Parts: sequence; C-alpha cells; structure tokens
Amino acid sequence: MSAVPEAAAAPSPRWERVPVADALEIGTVLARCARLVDARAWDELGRVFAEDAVLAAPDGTAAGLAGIVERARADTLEPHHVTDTVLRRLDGDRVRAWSKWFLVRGDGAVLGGEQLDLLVRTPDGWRIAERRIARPDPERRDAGAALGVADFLA
Amino acid sequence: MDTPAQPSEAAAAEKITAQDRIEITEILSFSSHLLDNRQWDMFGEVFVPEVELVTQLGEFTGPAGVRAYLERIDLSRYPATHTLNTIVEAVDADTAVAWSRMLLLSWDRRAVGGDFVDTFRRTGHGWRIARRAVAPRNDRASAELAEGGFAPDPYAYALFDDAVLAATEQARR
Repeated sequence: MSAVPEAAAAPSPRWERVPVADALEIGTVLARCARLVDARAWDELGRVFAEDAVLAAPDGTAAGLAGIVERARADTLEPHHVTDTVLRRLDGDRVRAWSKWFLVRGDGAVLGGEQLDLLVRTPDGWRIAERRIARPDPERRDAGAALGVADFLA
Repeated sequence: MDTPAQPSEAAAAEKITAQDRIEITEILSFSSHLLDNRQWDMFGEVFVPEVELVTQLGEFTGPAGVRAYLERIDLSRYPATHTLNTIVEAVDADTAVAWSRMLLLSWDRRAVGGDFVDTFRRTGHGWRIARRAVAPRNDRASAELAEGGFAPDPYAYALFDDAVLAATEQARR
C-alpha cells in the first residue's frame, strides 16, 4: 500500500465490511425482493423475508410473512428500484443494509425513499428480518423523516 | 474504434480483488447517503482531504470545495442522490476509476440524470475518492443546446478515458 493514511473520521472503526460472497448474496436478495413485490409473487416472499420478519413504514408496521403480504397488497406498488446499498457486518450471521429506492409512476412522476434492513443468515440463505422504510414527504419537503448515518451504525 | 488505456478484462481483474470492487461501490453509495443527509462532517469517509471536483461550474478542491459546489447547484432542490450502474476499471493495486450513472430526485417529483467519473485511491482507511468529474446529462442547458430534444452525451466517455489515462500516468510515476 503506497498511500499515506489520512486522519480517520467516524464511523470507520464501527463499520466492519461484509465479505464479498455474502455481499453479493445480500445484493441479490434485495434485488429479488423488489422483483417479487412487483410481480405480486406473494407465495415466494419467503425467499427474501424471514418467517418472523418485521416491516416498519411511516404508515404502519407489519409482522410475519402473512402480515407483510397483507400490507403490501394495500399499497399501490409501482415497480421500485433499489440503489446505493451499503452493508455493515454486525456478526457472522447478521448484516445491516442501508439502501435507497425510487419508483417511477405511470404518470412519469418519480418518488424515492430509503430502507434500512437487518439481514440474517438462515439455512436457506440470507433473509430480511427487519425492514424500516422511510419516505420523505414531498408536500412538506421534509427530509427529516429520512434515515441517517446514526441509524445505519446503531 | 479508439479505446485508449483499456487493459484486458483479465489483466484488470487481477489488479484489485472482488472485495475491493464491493468496497469501491459501497463508498460511492455511502457518498450518496452523506450528500442526502448533508453530512459534511463525514466527507472524510468518502473523499481524500485534497479531493478534486471537476464540474460544469469549474473546479473545486477538498471537502469544503465539494460543499461549495453543492451549494452553487442548490442541492436543496433534490432530496435524493442515487448512484448506480457503476463500472470499475482497475488501474493498479491502489488506483481505480469508477464510472457511474447518477440520478437526482427533485421535490417536485421529477428526476435529472448525469454521470460521475470517480478516481479512487486506496488509503490507510480504505478506498477514497481522490477526483470526481461530474457530467450533467440532458439537463436544461444541454437540452437547449440540442434545441429542446434529448442531448446525447459524448463527454462522459471522454471523461472516463481521461480519468483512466491520468490515473495510469500518475501510477507510473
């Protein structure tokens, strides 16, 4: 390594990277989740969410696969895109993932938000155990509802 | 076709590891999160202290320069910056150039796009952005130049090639 180290700024010491093989699998789970929801493939949701997963959004919380399906059915659900995922290793079997999403509505309007996930390693692969969804309110121009670095590092 | 400074895929793949590639894209993603959160105090997590920013409004230096640029373009119009579709070109074991699409969402539910070309350097704390070239694409100014239509963008290709060449030159020294 040739570079001169710069002064460390937080949160480096608390941000442990995820090994590449796990990172790629987790990226696939997040992308597949968007696909399954877009396709309304509710009976396959267990491929991405843990049985007892908890989903928290500004308009309510859902628990368990059945609860998540029920909530998802009530949403409009334009196809969403997941971008900008950063991963933090909590331990060998748990990873924090912070991503952004955006969706393009039928009228061309673009809306975006964030999601903070806890992924757990199961015998069947990585699964989302917790998801927090944040959605800034365009009417109020309120970015305060957004997730922050502190949430990612918590 | 003129394609300067393009090592073969196999040769490039050996210069940095898959883990390096994941970390480079994570730094890009984290930089987007920091921008959205206006987390100026943490710019050291993604930029080197002397980072060079090359933009349509001129050149800016250091994290303070990055902030000055963002204030000039009035980032407050945009609640979200997305960085996606990244190509990582390894120059040597400690240098890589990443070419990404960026998408800015505005409060009025529209989006503008462009490209980031980032030159990464491996530091004692991990990969950091040493130079960023910003190329707005199909923005109002370029659409006007194209007489209101879609403006094709040859500049990002040139920016990417230039960044790879410059990083290669620097790595040789």
